[in-house]
Amino acid sequence: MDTIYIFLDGELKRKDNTLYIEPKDNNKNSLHIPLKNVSSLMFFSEVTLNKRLLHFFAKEEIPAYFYDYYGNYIGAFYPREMNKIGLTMIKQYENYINKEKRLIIAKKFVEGSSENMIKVLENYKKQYIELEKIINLMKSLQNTVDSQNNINAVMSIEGNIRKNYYNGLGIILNKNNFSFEQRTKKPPKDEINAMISFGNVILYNITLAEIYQTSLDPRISFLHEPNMRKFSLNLDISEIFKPIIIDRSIITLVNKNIIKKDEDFTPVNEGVYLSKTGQIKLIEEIEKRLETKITLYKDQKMSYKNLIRYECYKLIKHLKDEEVYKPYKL
Amino acid sequence: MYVIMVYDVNPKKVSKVLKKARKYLNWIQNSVLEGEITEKDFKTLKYSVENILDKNTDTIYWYIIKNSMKPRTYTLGETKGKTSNIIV
Repeated sequence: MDTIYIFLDGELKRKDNTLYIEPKDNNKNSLHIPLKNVSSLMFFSEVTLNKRLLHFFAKEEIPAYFYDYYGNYIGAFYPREMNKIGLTMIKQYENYINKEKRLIIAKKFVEGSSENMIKVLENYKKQYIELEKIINLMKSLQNTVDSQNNINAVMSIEGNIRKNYYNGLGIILNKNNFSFEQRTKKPPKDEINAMISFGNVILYNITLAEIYQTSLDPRISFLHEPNMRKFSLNLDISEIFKPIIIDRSIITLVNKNIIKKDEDFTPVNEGVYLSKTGQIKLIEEIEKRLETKITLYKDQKMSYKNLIRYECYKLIKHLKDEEVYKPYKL
Repeated sequence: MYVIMVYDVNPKKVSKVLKKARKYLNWIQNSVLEGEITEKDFKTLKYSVENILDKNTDTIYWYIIKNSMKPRTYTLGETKGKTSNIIV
């Protein structure tokens, strides 16, 4: 299932049961996009649309996400939910309310994400000797997760692991005029932060689109605290894939000198954002990675995107007490 | 599965076939469409164009790649339809 990213200004319509784009620029051809094999739509440009089109999105069960000029997430059109089953919902509430059950799942998410963070750094262990120390520190922190008995403690260890991980990333990414010291948000202070912020938001929304297709309720999460307004289960599941998909894409773009500091970023007061060309470069790399197929079992191949969906199904199985959830580890 | 559709029909019916096919597949250039499609959707597509077709004069070819591998494609010259999922 594809994700369609739209950077073209214009008018959107429903025509012959396809998404029809009439570009503002008269030199460009109009487009028909079939939505049968699309899982989500992401709008970055100035578009006009009407209710008829939203009805069509709802009919095809496709969430549409909207971003502002700088690539900040504005909001989504999240169609009426069709696949929700009462049973999964009850199980999800039960696993959230019961503190012990919730702790089990939260620990699994941390286990998966920290393991993947370590694996990303380990690839560069030979190149940068300083990483050895950071990886050992992360491993010792990871070992303490299991003995914690409340969510806050687990969260703070996760934060600690992540801080060390970003130190490690800083060592890898300190080249081609780029530098990265610590994570800053709203606005991101340097270029690497801008890429991490943008990439993470894209991944959160792709994960949300995958959750939409399953019977899980995206509002009830286990590791993150469910928020009054936001979806949060997608944040939990994305934790596992952030290092593999987003951070590796950023490392590739910087290492291969594809993304340029002076071309692909726009400064704003006290911060910096990706420009349109930069956004497209990062999305291309992320998509390439999501389409990459890995061998899961002996003869079963699966793309990373399907793996995100598979992760949801594994979680459902855990909620129903059928099989203990094992997070995906590289 | 991944499908490439090539059709050669009476000029009066071209737009009718195109309208049906565009719902499921990406338009690449005149009389050629391709894309990822489910077996069920493919069946529906086949039925819906079958009704339009005059079987004595018109033909439609489908090239089917079952294991969902996208074929490696090269383009020479101007691209007419969209080939990527990033629309600029």
